[in-house]
Amino acid sequence: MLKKIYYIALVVFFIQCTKKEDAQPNIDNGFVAPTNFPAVRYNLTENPYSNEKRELGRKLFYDARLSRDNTVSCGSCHQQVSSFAHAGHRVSHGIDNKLGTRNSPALFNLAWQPLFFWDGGVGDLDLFHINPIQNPVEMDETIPTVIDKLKTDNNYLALFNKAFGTSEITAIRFNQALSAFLISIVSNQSKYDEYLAGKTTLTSTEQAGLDLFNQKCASCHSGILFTDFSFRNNGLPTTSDLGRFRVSVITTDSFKFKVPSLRNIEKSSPYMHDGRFNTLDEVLNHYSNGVVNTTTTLDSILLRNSTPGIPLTTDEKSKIISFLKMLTDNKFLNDSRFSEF
Amino acid sequence: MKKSNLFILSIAIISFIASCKKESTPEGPGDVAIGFDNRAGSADLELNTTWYKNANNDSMNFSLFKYYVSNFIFTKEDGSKYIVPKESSYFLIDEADDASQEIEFSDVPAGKYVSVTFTIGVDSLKSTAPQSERTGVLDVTTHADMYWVWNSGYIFVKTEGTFSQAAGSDFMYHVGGFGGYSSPTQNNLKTVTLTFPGAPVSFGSNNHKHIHTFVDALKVVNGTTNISVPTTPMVMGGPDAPKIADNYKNMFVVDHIEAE
Repeated sequence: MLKKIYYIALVVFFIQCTKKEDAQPNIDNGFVAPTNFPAVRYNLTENPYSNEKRELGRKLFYDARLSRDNTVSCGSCHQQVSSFAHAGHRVSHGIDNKLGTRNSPALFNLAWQPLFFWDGGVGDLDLFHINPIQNPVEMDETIPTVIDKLKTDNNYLALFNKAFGTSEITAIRFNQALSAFLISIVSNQSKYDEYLAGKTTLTSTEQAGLDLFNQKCASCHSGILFTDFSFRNNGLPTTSDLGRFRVSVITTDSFKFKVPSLRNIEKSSPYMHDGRFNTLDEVLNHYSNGVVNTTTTLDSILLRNSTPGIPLTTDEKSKIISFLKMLTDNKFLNDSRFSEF
Repeated sequence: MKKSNLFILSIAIISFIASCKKESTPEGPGDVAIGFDNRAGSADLELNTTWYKNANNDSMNFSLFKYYVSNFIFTKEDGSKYIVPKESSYFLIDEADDASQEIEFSDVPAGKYVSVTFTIGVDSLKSTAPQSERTGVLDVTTHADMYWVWNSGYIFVKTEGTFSQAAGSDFMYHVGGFGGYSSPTQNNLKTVTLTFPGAPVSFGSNNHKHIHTFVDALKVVNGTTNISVPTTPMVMGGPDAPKIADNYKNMFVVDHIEAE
């Protein structure tokens, strides 16, 4: 009998151990950055992180009352199962079935991101949230009205009290709570991360894919975050969207868009700033033989060879895709702390 | 000495000391107000009701004229400066709101002043400050009409109206751009210095002053680049915004200064 109890205790202990490991990234005891990530950009001094703020932010993220007719929430276009991008939607799909002009991006590791939007128009995460709420083709609501709606809900009064010490609901608190939730969405537990930690090994295809990735892709999709956050023209046939130029009004920024992270890329289709590609094959085909040299701002990295683009054989592409799939973080995709319910 | 003489002497001494004291006490700080009297050329600006002509001879009827002014500095005749504390140095002037057109500075040190310097718009430091440091006229949620959310930054000068009775003849000039966060963007911040007519002018506790400025809305489109309103009716940032900012930096002039 005693032996049995001992075994049960041992099993429970192990389960707890595993659980603890699963709890990485550590967002339950303050915001602890993964040790192999760069310095956090988000201003945690201005908005100290807490579980209560994260919880309030999660509620707000999934609350359709943030939209004019109470039908669209942040979570409508940013779905966890798709790495918080919008599966099957080329561009953002908002209120009254209106369409935006750009692809709703995947959301994770935002505490490390210097500029937000495909064109980097917003530099402070706290001031980001106003955008989709006010945008007439997304949520078409005003912040003061949202605040008024929230004030009529006793649950929110209690949640704001827990998060901020009083039940006062202000625009600043609203923004800070959403930011606390958004920065908590950390993705650093992919198979690739486990490989880096020495917990798993690569198949020969994955290893070949990693080597090819480092040769052919990592100049822009660099480092542990898989982006250098720069703005680049990757040679897509142009549309009227001038990208970074719209924000900077600097001619050399025309047709440049932010280099996105490739973490969870398997899950965040469709691809590119306007969602024109549905599959990773299409994306790599673009880089191997779809790059057009019709603008003055095409990235110089794509002009190293006689044909614009990155030379890739079919075999190389499939190996790179094997590697990219290693960046899928199933723990993040299923983490209940980020889920609606 | 008789008792009464002693009394008189004491009074004399006391009054002497008192008067001495008064004379040696320098004048204390005083209030300075600046009025922004919006105009259209030589006429007073009237929203919606009156038509004006710009340098290009285009007709213009204004429905809105708003702008931020900030970072006020008063310069004395010896070149020394009084910098208004940051926390009370941001103002949004709105032609539709009379109260906004009168701004007040208290505790301006006494002295002889020759000019006032200020920024048209909101400086880059404040434009990137946390939301908690953006209160009053800088609150981006209550003054959402003066803030570009998609390209984080205040609209420095905003004017709208029509250039003809015909439908679809609206003009809108919105200029902002503080230079960007971590990656550069257009910078349309302008700093202007207005010299005082009849300078130097005394400020101080005995010299509360009211500086009456004229602000010519037509100078949004008149100046280094005379904008043809029918040809370029919409500027909301973009390549033409710097031309407009170069124009409107000359729209302010001190008409006169009076005692308050």
